[in-house]
Amino acid sequence: MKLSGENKSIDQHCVQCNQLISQEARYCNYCGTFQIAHSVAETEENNKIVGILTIFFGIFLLVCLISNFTGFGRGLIALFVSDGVLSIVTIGYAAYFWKDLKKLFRWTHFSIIKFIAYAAAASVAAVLVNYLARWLNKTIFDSESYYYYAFSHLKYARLVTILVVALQPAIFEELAFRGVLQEGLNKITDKNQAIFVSAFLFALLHMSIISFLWLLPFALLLGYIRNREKTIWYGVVIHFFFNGTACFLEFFELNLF
Amino acid sequence: MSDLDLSSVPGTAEECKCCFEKTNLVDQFCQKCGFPLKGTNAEQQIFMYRRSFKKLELNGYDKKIKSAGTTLYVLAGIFMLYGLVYFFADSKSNTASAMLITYGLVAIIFLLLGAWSGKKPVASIISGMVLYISLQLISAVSDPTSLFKGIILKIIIISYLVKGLLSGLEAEKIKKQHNIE
Repeated sequence: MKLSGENKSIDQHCVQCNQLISQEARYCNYCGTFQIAHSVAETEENNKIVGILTIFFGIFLLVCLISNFTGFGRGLIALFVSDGVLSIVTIGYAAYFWKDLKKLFRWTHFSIIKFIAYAAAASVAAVLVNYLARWLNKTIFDSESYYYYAFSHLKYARLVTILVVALQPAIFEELAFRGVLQEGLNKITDKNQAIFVSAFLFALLHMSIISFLWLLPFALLLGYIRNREKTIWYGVVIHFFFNGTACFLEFFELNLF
Repeated sequence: MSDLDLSSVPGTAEECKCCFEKTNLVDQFCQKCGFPLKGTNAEQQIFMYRRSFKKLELNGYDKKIKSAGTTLYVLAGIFMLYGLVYFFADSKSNTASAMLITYGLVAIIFLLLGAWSGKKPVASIISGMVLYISLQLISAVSDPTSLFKGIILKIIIISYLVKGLLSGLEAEKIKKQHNIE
């Protein structure tokens, strides 16, 4: 007969009376003793996670600073090296947190309607953001930039643009920010704060204050969808269509069709 | 009958009077806050008194969190001032209005984080601190000596933010430990 509360798992012993109690119990429901061992283990684990995530973000920040603000970041090779380094770091961290992250790789409640709806919404948002960003950059900073020009001399320039600007970030940024970072932050704070911090850091690493205006809401939405759908795949779809639409708009503006 | 879960049987579950978590009729203590469900009135009152003391302890952390929030407001002011000085000192330059808007946006972000620090201290202070450190590093990339300019003020700002962050984490831990909202 199960006598203790609503928790089904009974797999820890009370540190005082040795009774079997629920794994989630902070206090023994028989003698009322605070389960200090449980709490100490949690604190040590949290401190470890804070350290690990700080190093993770530090590497990202360092690579982004070098590639955006120094001479080392110029050119295609530098771009592939920085993307490669960040992708390898992300894979390494994902492997380290695999036990916690593997649930996010499942897509058990896949729905084609949701897939299409998210992809369509991302494309519409990308069109609006693209025109807003171009207008702001032209009006305020008197500048115009196109991703395509970085690859225009290559044989399959359009395909490379899609792969580097849309596909690679969609997979690895989602894995890094909605996967590793948000999952780690979920352990040290509540879910809403974890969504906010991972979204804020995502926006910050794009190294453009003006783009905070659309990147922060975009990343908040991705974090929310990741929690709601319990998978990173819808986020990857949204991210891919958002960036991919921006690429197609460039091709259209540059008369490449 | 060995797998019968009494919490699913109507009338067997009750609510903790202290933290309002669901408990079972056979529980002597609440699993979430430790309230003596079957204790005497005196025992329950002593428990509530100790819990009030914990809430007072949280006030100590609140002071450091408020200081961190004030630091975020100060940063908002500093960046707005930078933007205005840059704009009025060089208003004919093409970049003057761009710099004013950039600094203004940074100031607004710090302002919003400061306003939010009372409700969600961990998220707002981490974000503010990372933004501040990143801006210092960006400036240091083009001019490494800039790291040492106003170094004392920078150390004071970071120490206030770190203290606020640690207090926020500790306060969250106590709230979780005692199931305090």
